[in-house]
Amino acid sequence: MLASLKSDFRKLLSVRSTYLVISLALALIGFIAFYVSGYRDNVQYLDKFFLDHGIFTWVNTIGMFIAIVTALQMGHEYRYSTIMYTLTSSGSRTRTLLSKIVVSTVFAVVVVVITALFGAIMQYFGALTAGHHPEPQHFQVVQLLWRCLLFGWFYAMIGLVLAVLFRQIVAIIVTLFLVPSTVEPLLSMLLKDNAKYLPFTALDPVITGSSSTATGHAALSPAAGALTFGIYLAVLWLATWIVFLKRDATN
Amino acid sequence: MIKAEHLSKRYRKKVAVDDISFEIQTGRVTGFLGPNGAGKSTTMRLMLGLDTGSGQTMFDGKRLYDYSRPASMVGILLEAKAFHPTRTAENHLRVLAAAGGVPDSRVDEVLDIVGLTEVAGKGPGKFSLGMAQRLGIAAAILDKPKYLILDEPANGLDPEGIAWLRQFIKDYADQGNAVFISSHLLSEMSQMADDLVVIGRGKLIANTSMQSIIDGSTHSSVFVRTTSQGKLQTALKKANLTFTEQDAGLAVQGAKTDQIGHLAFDAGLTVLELTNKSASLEEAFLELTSGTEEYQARTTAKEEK
Repeated sequence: MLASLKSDFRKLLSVRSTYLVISLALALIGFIAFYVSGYRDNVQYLDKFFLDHGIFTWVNTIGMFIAIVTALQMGHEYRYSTIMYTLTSSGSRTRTLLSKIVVSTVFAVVVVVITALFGAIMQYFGALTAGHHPEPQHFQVVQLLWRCLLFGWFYAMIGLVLAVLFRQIVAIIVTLFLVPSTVEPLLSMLLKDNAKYLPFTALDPVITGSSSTATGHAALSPAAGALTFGIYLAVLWLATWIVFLKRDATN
Repeated sequence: MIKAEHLSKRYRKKVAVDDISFEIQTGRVTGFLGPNGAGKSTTMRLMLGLDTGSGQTMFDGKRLYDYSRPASMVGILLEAKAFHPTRTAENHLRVLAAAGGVPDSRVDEVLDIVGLTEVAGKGPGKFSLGMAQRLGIAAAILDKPKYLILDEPANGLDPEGIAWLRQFIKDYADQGNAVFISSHLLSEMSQMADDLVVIGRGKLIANTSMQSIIDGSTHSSVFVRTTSQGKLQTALKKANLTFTEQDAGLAVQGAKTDQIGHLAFDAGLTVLELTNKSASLEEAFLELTSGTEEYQARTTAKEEK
C-alpha cells in the first residue's frame, strides 16, 4: 500500500495539469478576494466575520477545481494507458482504488487549507489597500474546519468516482459541470421541496450555510446536507468499486 | 515457467480468445504469432489480469497477484505510448519505480540501458515511436523481472534499435529469465525466438519450438539430384515419400537427408546433390494460419490498375 501511495503522490505532483488547474483557481480566488471582496464591494460587511464568511466562499470556489484534478489523476491513467502499469504493480485493484482515495483526500485537505489561508489574506489586504480597517476577526473554527474540509473532500471524491466510472475526461468534466448547474436545477422545478435531497443541492448548504435552495424552497442544514451527499457518495463508491473490480482495464 | 490455462475472452457475440492453453519456459524466448485480430494482445492482457475473462495464468505455480511485488515477477510492454505525454521520461519511470518498490537509482540505470539518458528530462509526448518503445522497454525491465511480456516491441525501432533489442532479449532470456514477445516482423522473430505460440481467430494453432514449426512446413524439403531421376522416383514412391520435380532434381517433403542418402545408395544411384531446404518462418506461418486471417486484402496492386 505504501508503494502505491508513493507512486500515486508522484503521479499527482509530476504532471502540469495539477499545478495549472490549482494555480488558475488560486489566481481567480486571489483576484476576487483582493479586489472584489476586499477592496471594492464589501465595505458594509467589514464585521468580525468578514474573513470567516470569505473563507467559505473561497473554498466553495475551489471545490470544482479539486474535482477536476482528482478526475484527471484517474482519467489520465486510462487516457494514456498507464493503468496497466498501476494494476500490475499493485496486485490488487481494491488497493489501487484505496491509494487513489487517500492521495485525493490529502490533496483536497492541502488545497482547501491553502485556499482558505490565501483567500483570507488576499481579502484582508484588499480591505487594507482600500483604506478600511476590519475589526478584530472571529472565526467559527469548528464550523470552518468540518464544513470546508468535508466539502473539499466530497468534491475530490466525486471527481475520482466519475473518472473511474466514465474513464473519458471530456465526459467526466461535462458531468461535473452539467449536473450541479443544469440537471439539478431542472429537476428542482419538478421535485419542488424535495429537491433539497438532490446531491449537489444537498451539498450546497454545507459550504454556503444557506437556508433556502436555488428555487426558494427550504434547504437542508449543513449537517443534514453533508449526510445526504455522503449517502449518495457511499452508494456511488460501492458501485464504482464493483465496476472497477470487474471491468477490463482499457479506455 | 508461465502456464496459461484455458484463457477465454468474449466480447458480446464475438469470441476473441477461445480456450487457449500454452507454456512459456524459462531461459527461452517465446514468440507469439498470429494474424491481425487473432487475439494476441487480448491474450497478453488476460494473462496479466488486465482484461477479465476465464482461465488462469500461473507464474512459477502462483497467480501473478499472489506475489507481494508482481512487478518483480513480470515486466510488461503492451502499448508503445503508455505514458503521460508531459510527465518527463525520468518521472514516468520514477512513478513506476515507486509503485514497484524499486530504488530511484535503478531509473538512471534503465535509462542508460535503453539509451534515453539524454532525453530523460523531456516529456515523451513528442518522442518518436522508436524512442517510446525504448521507454516502454525501460519500464518493463525496471524491477529486473523474471518474465517479460512484450507486445510488438520492435515496432518503430530503427535497424540499430532492432538489432539491439534482439540481442537484449536473447541475453535477458539466457540469464534464466523468459521473454514472451509478439511481433509481425517474422524475420526478426526467426532470429530471436526459441519457441513459438501461434494463434488464429482466437484459437491456439501451435505451441512448440521454432524448429518444429519450420520442419513441419510443407515448404521444408530435401533437394536431391542423382544420376537417374526415374530410379530415384521409384525408390521414393516405395518409401511412401512425396516429392515434386525441381531444377533437374527432386524436392522430397517430410524426409531427412540421411534417409534420402540411404535410399539412393540402396537403389544404386550416385548422389550428385543433396541439401536440406528449410522453409522460412514466413512460409511456415502463412501455412499454419491460412484461413484464420480476420482481415484479408482482396485486391493486388496489379488488379487495382
